[in-house]
Amino acid sequence: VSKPAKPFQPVILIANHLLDGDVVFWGGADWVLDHRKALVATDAHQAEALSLIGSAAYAANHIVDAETIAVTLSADMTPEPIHMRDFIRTRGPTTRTDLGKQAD
Amino acid sequence: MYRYDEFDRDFVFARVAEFRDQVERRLSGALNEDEFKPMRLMNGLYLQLHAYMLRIAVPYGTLSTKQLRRLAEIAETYDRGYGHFTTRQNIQFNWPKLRDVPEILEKLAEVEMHAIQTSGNCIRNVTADHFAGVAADEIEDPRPVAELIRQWSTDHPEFSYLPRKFKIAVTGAAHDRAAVLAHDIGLRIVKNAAGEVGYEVIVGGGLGRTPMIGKVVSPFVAKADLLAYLTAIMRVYNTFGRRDNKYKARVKILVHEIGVTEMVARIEEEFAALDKASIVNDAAEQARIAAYFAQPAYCDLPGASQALDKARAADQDFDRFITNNVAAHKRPGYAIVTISLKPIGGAPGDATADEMRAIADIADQYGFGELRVTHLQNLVLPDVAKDDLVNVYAELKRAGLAHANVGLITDIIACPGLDYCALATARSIPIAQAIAERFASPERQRDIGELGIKISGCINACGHHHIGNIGILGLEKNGVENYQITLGGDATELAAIGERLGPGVPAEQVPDIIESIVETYRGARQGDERFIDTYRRIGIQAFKEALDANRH
Repeated sequence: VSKPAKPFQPVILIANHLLDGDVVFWGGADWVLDHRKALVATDAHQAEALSLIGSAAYAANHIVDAETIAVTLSADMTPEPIHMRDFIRTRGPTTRTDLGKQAD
Repeated sequence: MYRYDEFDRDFVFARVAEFRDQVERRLSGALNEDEFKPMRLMNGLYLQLHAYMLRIAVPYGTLSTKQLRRLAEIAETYDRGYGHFTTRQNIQFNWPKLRDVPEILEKLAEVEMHAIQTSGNCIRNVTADHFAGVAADEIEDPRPVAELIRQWSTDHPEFSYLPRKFKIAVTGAAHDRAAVLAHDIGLRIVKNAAGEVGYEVIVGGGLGRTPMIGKVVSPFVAKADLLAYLTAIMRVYNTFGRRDNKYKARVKILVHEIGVTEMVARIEEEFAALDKASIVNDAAEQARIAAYFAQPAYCDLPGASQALDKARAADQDFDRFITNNVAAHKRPGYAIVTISLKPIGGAPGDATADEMRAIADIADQYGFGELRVTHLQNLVLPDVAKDDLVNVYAELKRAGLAHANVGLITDIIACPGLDYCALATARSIPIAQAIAERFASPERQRDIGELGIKISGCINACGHHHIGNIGILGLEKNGVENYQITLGGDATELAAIGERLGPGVPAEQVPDIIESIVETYRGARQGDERFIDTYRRIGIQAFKEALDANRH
């Protein structure tokens, strides 16, 4: 008996902006600074499309270190990262709340 | 201290110009990231979780006040107003923008600083005893030889693409403050039976995922032969070091795999075949470099200071500061002052631009304008007259920098961890903060005595956890930060790798476990016995049993 397929974990596309190193997210039309405005891929096909967008933007020298990260979705479909590493990237150092995105 | 000659100056400015061109080509798209990444790394520029990170070399930890003020200016102009002193005596800025980095490097070059070889598979910044040149227990100042190695290794064409990074540390004192046994090469300045000064050479130490204590490959290498001997070691490593697996590419793995006897044989064979005359460290060159490290214009002072004694008797906090933060100087009437960058609740090793300027002002007024960076993430005023200690303390206090905890349980080493680092698997700084807050009481710290806690946020061990009396390694387990605790590590001449206390624990349990360890030590210690000595006497089992008993 085959195991039931694991439900797909939604993902968003994260990267660093080439010029200033800022953490950015693919918002659907452009790169955005706020992860809550990121385009969410809710199935494998959409996730693959996000990865291709990351590769293209990398090749075009807009961003570096693009990757998709797993998120959960709130009732209003706002994405929040699952892993601590990604959580910190969306906000800034937990020890310096005056720095990073959380300070904006 | 060392000053650039025209070759150094031209070389560093040429590197700035070269990197400026590389950045321009990157921004224009002429270079892609795969092409650019090795270039930026060769200039100390990393990409971390939130931004780029620039690691700047502080060769052998020696810094002038002019340089520290420039670092403060860079922190304010191009970063977020602070810098982070690292366990390799470097400083890191966590928020520079790529387009600004050439300008930052230009500003550094103006004060004889750079970021060359602070990354990449090359010979990295050479570190040294932070009390070099002033320690009372020193045979010879290790900085001239560290500088010699810097000159020899910088841009060395043969050793620019090693199997992996390569770290060298030097000490000139009997007591090892430079952790030379935990480096790829450790050098100890020693005297042979004839009274000649030379080097004991240690190879194959290192931390990371496979911690190893270095092995002595030569008990005595004559001064003139040092560069030839180092060349022989590097050639053996370059030839036989593994390149198939980056986790097995450090020289410690080579020494471990072939054995120290075979390693020595290969080094000796290479050494014998070398054209030594071409790389001889001749006496004239030794003297030329040593002249740069001429001692400052000390006054003839009495060994004791009545002003100091009186102030100690009158002020308990000052007395505690002197006890913990001041070390013996080789010169009568002078003292070495360590400025702790470990405020309770602060990030170990961080200093703001204002703090840097305040320290520079104090060093100019009371310390001949010179400073040291320690691998323990503190700063040092190496030459303070004992009569001036009261004023130095008052100035430090005014700047919020008179933390009297050097060598104590709150003087914690911690890497940046998951709050900044792209490699980290867990946070380090909050763990250091929680422990420091738990043991904040000065009386309690004094009672516990000398105890080094070192925290790394991943297996790469930048926080030197393996050689902490108490080591803490942050990992991720099922998506949650998890911390492994080790006991009995030692970074000194009695270097040892810590033993695991038990399974990893969640972050919130760490302070309680440290508390249990400390109470077990306090219950078992004999007289003034230090933690590490009690640990060696009673072993890890006693700590495990006490921890188990506390849990039930």
